[in-house]
Amino acid sequence: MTGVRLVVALRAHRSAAGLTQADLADAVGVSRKTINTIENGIFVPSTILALRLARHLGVSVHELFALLD
Amino acid sequence: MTRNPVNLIRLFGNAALVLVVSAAMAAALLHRQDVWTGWPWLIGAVALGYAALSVWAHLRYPRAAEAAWDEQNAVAHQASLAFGYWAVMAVFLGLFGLVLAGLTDPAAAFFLIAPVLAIAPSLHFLWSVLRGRAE
Repeated sequence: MTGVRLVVALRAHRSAAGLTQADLADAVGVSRKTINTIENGIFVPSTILALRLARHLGVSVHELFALLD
Repeated sequence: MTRNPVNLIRLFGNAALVLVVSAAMAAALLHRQDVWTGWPWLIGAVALGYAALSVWAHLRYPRAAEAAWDEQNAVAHQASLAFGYWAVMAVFLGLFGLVLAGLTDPAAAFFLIAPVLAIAPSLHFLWSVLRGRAE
């Protein structure tokens, strides 16, 4: 997987929804730190968590995460 | 800092375990034969107290427990257990070599490996928290 970069737009969509990291974390059942590290590209979430985040924010997973080749 | 009660108990429980085992080791090295015999009881009390508090918090705050064991924290926890395993293996092999070479008494080697077994996973988890990779 070298040479592939994950672009995360979670912060933008969360802010647009008017949610804090703690709000979103509470809604999807994870810790605030996990939302923080996902937004900063430190932690890559599982497919299930990515789908939960997308569903809660009313967007597709592709709008939250994209691969930059 | 986290306000999740399960996270807080895990953080302070791990820290307390590291502190009390380190203090016991320091006392054992300083006092040799005159070491206080209550150390094992104190370590056991801290460990059991941490376990009891943790069980209580998981039952009392199920939603907080779910967040405390989310996938990032689970990854950090698994990494801490793996680190503990390899730390014990490394120390065991080192002490085994010292025993074979006649530089260490087997009983002392057995005594020395216990604290590594006890606190290596906790130390690694605390390091993950400090690095912002767990809560």
